[in-house]
Amino acid sequence: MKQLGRRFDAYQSFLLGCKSYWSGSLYPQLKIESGDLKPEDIDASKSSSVTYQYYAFLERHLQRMKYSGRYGIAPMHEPFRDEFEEWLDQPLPKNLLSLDADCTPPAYFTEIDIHQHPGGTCGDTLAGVIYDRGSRSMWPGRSKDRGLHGRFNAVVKETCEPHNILDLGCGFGKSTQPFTIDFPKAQVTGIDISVPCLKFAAVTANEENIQNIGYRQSRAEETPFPPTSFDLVTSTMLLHEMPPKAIRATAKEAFRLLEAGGYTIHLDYLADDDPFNRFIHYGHGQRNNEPYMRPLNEMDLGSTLRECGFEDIKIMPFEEAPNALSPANDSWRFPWVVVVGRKP
Amino acid sequence: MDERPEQVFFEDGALDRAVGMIMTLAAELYVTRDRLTVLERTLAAKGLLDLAELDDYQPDPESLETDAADRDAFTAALMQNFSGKQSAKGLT
Ligand SMILES: C[S@@+](CC[C@H](N)C(=O)[O-])C[C@H]1O[C@@H](n2cnc3c(N)ncnc32)[C@H](O)[C@@H]1O
Repeated sequence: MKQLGRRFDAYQSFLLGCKSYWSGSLYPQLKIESGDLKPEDIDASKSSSVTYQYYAFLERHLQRMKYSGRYGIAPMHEPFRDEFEEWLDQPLPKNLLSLDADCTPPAYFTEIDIHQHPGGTCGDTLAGVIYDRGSRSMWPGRSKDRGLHGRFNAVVKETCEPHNILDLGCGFGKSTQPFTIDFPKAQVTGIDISVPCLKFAAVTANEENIQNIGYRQSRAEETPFPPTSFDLVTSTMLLHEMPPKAIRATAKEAFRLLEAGGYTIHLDYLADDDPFNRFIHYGHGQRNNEPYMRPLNEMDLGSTLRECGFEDIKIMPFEEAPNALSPANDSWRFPWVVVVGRKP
Repeated sequence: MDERPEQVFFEDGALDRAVGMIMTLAAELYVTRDRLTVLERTLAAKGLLDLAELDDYQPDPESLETDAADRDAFTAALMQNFSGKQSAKGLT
């Protein structure tokens, strides 16, 4: 991976240190001091808890500083723009990447810069490169993401042995590639609306010489594939980026795409009924530019899948890192869940 | 770019902006500290710097004077902010 310079590394390392304090110390402190806070108390400027005010401030601004500011991920890529663009536009083997000029990103997506990534994941030719860097740079403690997908695939393996996998909202391929490793006999297809992310995904797959993978530009709600094309339709961190209407359309589309006996399995976030947990989670959505986090939590995803025709629906807590679910872990974490449905 | 007002987390939004500046300054300080460490290590590795010499450094009388003047100018500019006084005759 291209080095962006020592200043960038030092700055991101500073932010990581701050973030570790925030998740490992400030969050538990807030829970002890003000564990009775609930979703109605999200507005920090009206809060009587100074700890919450700083907690909220830091949650937003450490993330802002990560992407923006003098050594933020976005500006630090500028000096290398031409080099990255050339790398992304290199010729690729046939069928590895297929783009569709008619597929425009939905308004609900372009309205907000998700995760405070300026321009969002579609807004700039370097958005995929920047998103990849962002997913690596700042997760306290564990090398969260690379292990995460392996752990998810282990859950998938307990449910089915897929041969034809569709990864909805595949981003820059971070969720898609691990399927090719854990299910080497399967054909894996990733779709996304973001051209810069898809290009990144395809170029890295080509560099790593992965054969059983293909990427395609498409919305999850309406894909170009014929009915019963897949035996697993999956997504990772997609649902919380969509309004409920789009989630319902996506579930319906997944049902259409699956052969009988096929599974839809999603990895996403759902806070449990504890008011403090909801307060933290909804506040995170608000502060991190993720407006559909709360609507996803408030809709009944199980019923939505059932209405589409799915059976054996399960929504299970997911342990994203070793011991993450242990009572001894008092750090902030996402309320990860795996959602499963089977097409009869 | 379409500009939207930043979220406010303190009763007084002035505090949000001031804490933002503190965080930016702290980040810049850390980057500079890191730079200095790398500089020291690089010079030491090339045999151009003896780190003990840095720690044991004693300025000569002339340097002492220069350093004191520099310190006074730095702290005066910083502390002037607390005086609540104008720097040029102006409206009150
Ligand atoms: C949080 S990212 C997750 C990417 C990837 N699954 C991973 O685990 O790294 C969500 C992705 O969903 C894509 N996305 C959002 N709405 C979409 C839609 N309606 N159809 C297809 N992709 C969508 C975004 O472009 C983004 O790349």
